[in-house]
Amino acid sequence: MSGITLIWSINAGICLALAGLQLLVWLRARNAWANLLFSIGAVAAAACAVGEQALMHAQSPAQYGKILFWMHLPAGVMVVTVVWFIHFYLKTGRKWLAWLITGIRALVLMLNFLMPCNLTFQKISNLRQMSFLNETVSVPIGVMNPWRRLILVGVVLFLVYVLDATIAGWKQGNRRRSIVIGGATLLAIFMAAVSSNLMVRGILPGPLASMSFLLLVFAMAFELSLDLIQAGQMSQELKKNQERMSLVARSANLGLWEWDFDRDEIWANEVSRARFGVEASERINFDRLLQSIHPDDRDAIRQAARNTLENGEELQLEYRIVQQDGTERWLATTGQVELDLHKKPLFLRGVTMDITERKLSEEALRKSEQLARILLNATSNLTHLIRADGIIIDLNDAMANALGGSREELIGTNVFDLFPEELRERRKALLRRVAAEEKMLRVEDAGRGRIYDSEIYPMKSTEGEQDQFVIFAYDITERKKIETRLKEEETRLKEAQRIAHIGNWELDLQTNVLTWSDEISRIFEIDKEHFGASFEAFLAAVHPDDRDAVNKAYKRSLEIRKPYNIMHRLLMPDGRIKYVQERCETYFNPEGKPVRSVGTVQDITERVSVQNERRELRHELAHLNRIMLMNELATSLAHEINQPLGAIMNNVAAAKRICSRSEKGTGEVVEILEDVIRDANRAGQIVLKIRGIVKKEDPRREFEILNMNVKVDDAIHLLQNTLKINQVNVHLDKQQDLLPVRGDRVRLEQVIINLVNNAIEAMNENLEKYLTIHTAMHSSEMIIVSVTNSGPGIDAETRRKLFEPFFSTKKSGLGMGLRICQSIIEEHGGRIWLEDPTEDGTTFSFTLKVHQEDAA
Amino acid sequence: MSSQSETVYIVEDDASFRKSLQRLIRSLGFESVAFESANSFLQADICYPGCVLLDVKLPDIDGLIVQKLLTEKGCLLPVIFMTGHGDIPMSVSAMKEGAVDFLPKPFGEEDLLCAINTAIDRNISDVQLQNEKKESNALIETLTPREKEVLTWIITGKLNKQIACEIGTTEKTIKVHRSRVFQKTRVSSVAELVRLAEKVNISPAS
Repeated sequence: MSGITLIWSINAGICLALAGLQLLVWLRARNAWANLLFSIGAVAAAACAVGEQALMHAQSPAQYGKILFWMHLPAGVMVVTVVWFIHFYLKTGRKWLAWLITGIRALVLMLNFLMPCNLTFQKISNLRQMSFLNETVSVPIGVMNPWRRLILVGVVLFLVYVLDATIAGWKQGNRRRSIVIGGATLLAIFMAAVSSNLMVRGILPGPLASMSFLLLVFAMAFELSLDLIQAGQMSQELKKNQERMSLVARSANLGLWEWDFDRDEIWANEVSRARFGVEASERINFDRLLQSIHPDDRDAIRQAARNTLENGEELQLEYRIVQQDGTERWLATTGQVELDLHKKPLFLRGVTMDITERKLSEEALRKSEQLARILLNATSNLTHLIRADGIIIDLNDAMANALGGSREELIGTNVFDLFPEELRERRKALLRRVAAEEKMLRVEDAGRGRIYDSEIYPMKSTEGEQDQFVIFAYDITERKKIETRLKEEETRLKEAQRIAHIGNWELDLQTNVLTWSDEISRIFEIDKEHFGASFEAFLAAVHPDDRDAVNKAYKRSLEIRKPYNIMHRLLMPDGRIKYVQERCETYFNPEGKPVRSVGTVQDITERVSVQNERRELRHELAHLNRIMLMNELATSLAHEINQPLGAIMNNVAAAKRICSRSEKGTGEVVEILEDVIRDANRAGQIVLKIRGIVKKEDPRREFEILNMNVKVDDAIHLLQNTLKINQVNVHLDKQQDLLPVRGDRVRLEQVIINLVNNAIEAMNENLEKYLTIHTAMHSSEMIIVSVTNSGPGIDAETRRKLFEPFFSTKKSGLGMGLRICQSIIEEHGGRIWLEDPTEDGTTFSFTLKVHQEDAA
Repeated sequence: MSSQSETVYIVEDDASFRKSLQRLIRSLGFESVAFESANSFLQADICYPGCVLLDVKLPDIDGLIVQKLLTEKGCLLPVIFMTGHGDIPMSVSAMKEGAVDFLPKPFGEEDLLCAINTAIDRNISDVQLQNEKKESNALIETLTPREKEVLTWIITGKLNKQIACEIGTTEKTIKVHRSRVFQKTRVSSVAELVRLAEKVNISPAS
């Protein structure tokens, strides 16, 4: 065999072998277009090699032209396949350029088939024999076809396309691929151009394009083989990954599955199979799967599968399966559909997890939440959960009611809006404190006319969240009201006890425990801090002389089962005596045993001492009255007797003188007259003596500086019972800046009392009785006191005799009252008189000298 | 004493006592006029020498006030009080006002007479003093204003020369004035003039 035949055959053989190899690859992976293109290209290259060999051995120009004519086909195919291989394999190259090149090649082929000879030669005139590789080969001689330039244009475009694709591929990072493929292609083009020229120059017998093509085929095959090796490696990796994956799936209890729709076959990993109770060998389809699923959930699964298949939605499902032993388990599945080129679903792949635990805990949580909500709503406490910024996260019905809205409306509103401005900051500070101290705090606050007692509990917050607080607010308005009322009542009772000087005590006879109120400690002057309530303390305070009586009274009240009420004395350590009124009542149980004694102690010292004092005063007044009456009687009597006595004596003296002047007057008449004088004198002396005796009785006048306003008050006070009994309306009209007078307290009081008593009697017949006492400055040196009554008035005759002794309009009257008043007032340098009657009634007025320091 | 009739006035509301007293006084040799009220007494003409027996308690005006009113009128009649009460404070104030005595009823003839005599003596001397004063006044009134002025200087005891110097005139003029004053006032010495001036309340110039 010749060398050329050998080389070119080997060339074609290699090409075909590689083409076959890659075709096989394509057959296994239909989308491996690059492999298919390579196969086509390689076959074309082999055809070119066979063609070239035939050319070199052509015997006639016609044969040569024919072969060349047919060779244009594989050459064109070769170029086009390379163009598209680059496109698919390197994923670069401008598509329009690729189409342009394809178009030009197609045009070349068309022209080639239209031409009489071929596109290379217009006409081959002859064949020249030349020696090549020690063999004689035919070389054509003829006219070149001008259309041949079109091929050149195609080559130039191809060159541009490859360069562009290579650079793009390089830039994209597929450097090796780009260099190998692009470089080989460029080299091949270069070789083809060189050999073509050599051929034209007659140095080479032909273009030897198959050699360039072989280079290309090698380059492409090299890359594709590398890919195959890589794929092998990857499948190894994949296997490993799959193993890892199934391990992970097993340990994570993940069920993996894949549903092939066309065949209605479901692949499932061990976990899934075990879960659905399917043997490893058993074939699974959708219906078989449904059998394992809880009857209630089957429809939902069907619906979900349909949705996924029709709309390509992601599958997401939670459902129950019933295991062979009858137990239910919850599963969650997610899956994605895989579509083919026509958007037709091919597979549904997914993962299934056992979420029974989660579901159970969710259920438990839901139940406990429900329970919590029921509990929350069952209470009337205003319960709410808030964030630190006051936003309500949740609340119970009571809270919602209180705020007057629904739960949904109120969630998200700010609880601080409910607080008045000034409280808001305080509440915020409180929340901060609760959060900081991590313990419950109580706070009492008022709002919307009610008072709330709130317990604020901190809620553990997760990282990055605001603090949360649970607040239980109790409406304590009513309680507060009651508390306040109780407190007020207690205070009032205490106050009442303090004011009335009444204390209360209670003796539990069964436990013998004695308790008493503060007021008792105060009355007994026992230091409450140091001595508690005790019977000893009580007895110690009782006046020794009264202890027996107190004891007896209590014992007796137990015997006769009746309350007792006694007055006794207390002896204070400093010797003071207090008077107390004690009342006590004992309660008995049904068996008749005394159970409990309660009692009150009232300090009546003041009342008793006032009573005593008043009694003394009355006594004093009465005594004075008596004395003054006697004094006045004596004085009046003396005056009344002295007057006639004086007249007698004057007359006798005159008579005696007349007698002694007349000579006839005998001594006897004179003697008689002298006796008369002596007796008259004696009578005068007796009167004087009586007066003297009475005067001695007269208590000494105690002059002191007095305010008559006070004396008026005192007198009215003394007479208040009489005034009350007689239903007299008293009106006091006192000048506030009344100057003081100097006088005898008791006597001046007596004057007022006498005048008031007279006034009361004067109004005896009146239905309405008005008594007015008026004090004023009469002049700069005198004060005036007037007593006016609304009585019927005094007739003229009476008026005249009013101040005469022994004159009285009263049946039992001595007629000394006004007389005494007059004496007293005159003694004090004042005057007393009856005013002319006015419409106000009858008025007695008296004046008194104002006290002057220097005149004292 | 009895050169002129001496009158004892009585003011007493008690008719019986008044009458008895009048009798007694007349028996004692005095003229007596009696009044039953203070008012009628105050309106009556009074003749000196005399005195008044005044009851402290009178229905219309208090005896002590009557005494005051008499003094205010310039009546020189001395007052003897009579009282049926004989209160000491009252008598003290009465005596302070110049009462001669305070007789508690009933009183004896001697006490009464003694009181009346004292009172009338005082009345006589009072009247005399008053008359002298009147005479002296009349003498002084005869002086011209200038002479009165000179008189005030003379009673200082100063010499004419000094007086002339004091009131801005000549010694001679003063001398003339001085002799006129002596002549008109009927005095013969400076000492007499001083006594006269004292009587009419003329004080020395200064």
